[in-house]
Amino acid sequence: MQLINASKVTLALAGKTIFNQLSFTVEQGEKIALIGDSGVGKTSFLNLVCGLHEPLKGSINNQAKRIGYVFQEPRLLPWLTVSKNIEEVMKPYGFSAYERQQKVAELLTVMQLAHCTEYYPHQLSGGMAQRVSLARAFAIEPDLLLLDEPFSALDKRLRNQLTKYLAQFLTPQTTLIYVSHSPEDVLGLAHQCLVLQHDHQYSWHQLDTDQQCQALLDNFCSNKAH
Amino acid sequence: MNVRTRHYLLQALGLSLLLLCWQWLSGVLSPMILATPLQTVMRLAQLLLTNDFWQVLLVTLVRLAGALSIACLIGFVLGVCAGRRPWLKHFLEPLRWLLMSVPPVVVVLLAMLWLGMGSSMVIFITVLLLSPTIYINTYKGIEQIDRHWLDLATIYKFSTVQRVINIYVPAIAAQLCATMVVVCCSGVRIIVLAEVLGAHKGLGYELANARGNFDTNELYAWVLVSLLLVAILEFLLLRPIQNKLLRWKNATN
Repeated sequence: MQLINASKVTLALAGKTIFNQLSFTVEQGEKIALIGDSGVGKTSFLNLVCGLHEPLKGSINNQAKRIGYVFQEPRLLPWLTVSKNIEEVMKPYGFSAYERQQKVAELLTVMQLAHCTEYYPHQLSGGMAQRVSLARAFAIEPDLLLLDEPFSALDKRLRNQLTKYLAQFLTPQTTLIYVSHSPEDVLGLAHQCLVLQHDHQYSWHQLDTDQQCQALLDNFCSNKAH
Repeated sequence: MNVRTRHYLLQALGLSLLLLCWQWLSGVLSPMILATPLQTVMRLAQLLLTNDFWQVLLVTLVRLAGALSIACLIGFVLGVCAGRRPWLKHFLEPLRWLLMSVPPVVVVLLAMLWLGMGSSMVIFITVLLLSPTIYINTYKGIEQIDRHWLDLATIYKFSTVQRVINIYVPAIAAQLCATMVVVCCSGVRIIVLAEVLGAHKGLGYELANARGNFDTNELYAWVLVSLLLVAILEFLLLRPIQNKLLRWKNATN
């Protein structure tokens, strides 16, 4: 089933064209890595997909009913406790109070944050806050999960740990678009990769085999070096 | 000595100084102009024992509660809407300017002309003069809310009620609490002023009566009541609400 269909989309922000005639489709359950240098429009791509940005021309049709979004920074509401931060996003999706409490307890236990339910965000470390942000995205059982370099500010050990949690929660039905400027983080999870470039060019790459991943990685690194 | 005790001591010192000044002035000036603190408290004690005092206080309190509730509702709702919709802010700007520029006494005179004497006039004036203050502080606060939180609410499909309770109110809570202190104090002042000029009952009416009868002790007793009313509003109502809204800031591991 086709989840997202974009046709000849042009996106301009503050007078600057970010995408020109961008067309793509995403099937349900696809796992897509989105890579590119800083400033090519990776975050804008996600914002376009989830409806935060409106295209100047063209159209984008997103069938996803539940969109989970993990931002670069945790973006937890500072006046709500950890459990309330997660529970609150579940309310619009029809979860009962009991289901919400159960889900929050389950997610925080898996994320090893069961002792932090009544903490406020300023009482958490960066890694803990990002784990809560990840739990919040999974709490709504998303059919589309958008990750915008969620672990870029964390050290290697925490990145690996959170990638492990991510893989644990992803179901075959969940569509994933994972943005990163370090491809080695995302290639293990993705089936295909969209590479964005500064001149509004973009290319799709299949990542079915390790050789394809390695080739893309080498290509990306050599382009960066130039 | 901890910080809180120190603050209380400083406040007690300030209050004592004010009382000393009052006592000294009442010795210098004629008793027709200024009652002593003791005479004022004694007269207040006598008033407290009468039924009339409580009826008068109830009338003023009902007016105050009604006026503050309506002013808060109008100011907050319009402030949130204007903060989210710039066209509404521009549309309301002339009205806001008009209401904040016109002298209160002019509003009182016009309201007496339109509505006659009594509660509806007093409440009307208070709402008219207070809601612009709440409105302007609300929309300024809403405009400064971090765009990221609003994006979060959009992505996760927050309802309007969820946005108000979980984003708008907590994000502008500090500013809103400070505004409410100003509004409550001004509310008591405006209600008393309106009652002095055009009401048949209430604290202001009793003030005007006491002045007309040259009963200085009673005049100052009613002034003291109006001050106590502001103190009760600020310390027993607004302060606990503020502490509740901002308690997250004090949380420590």
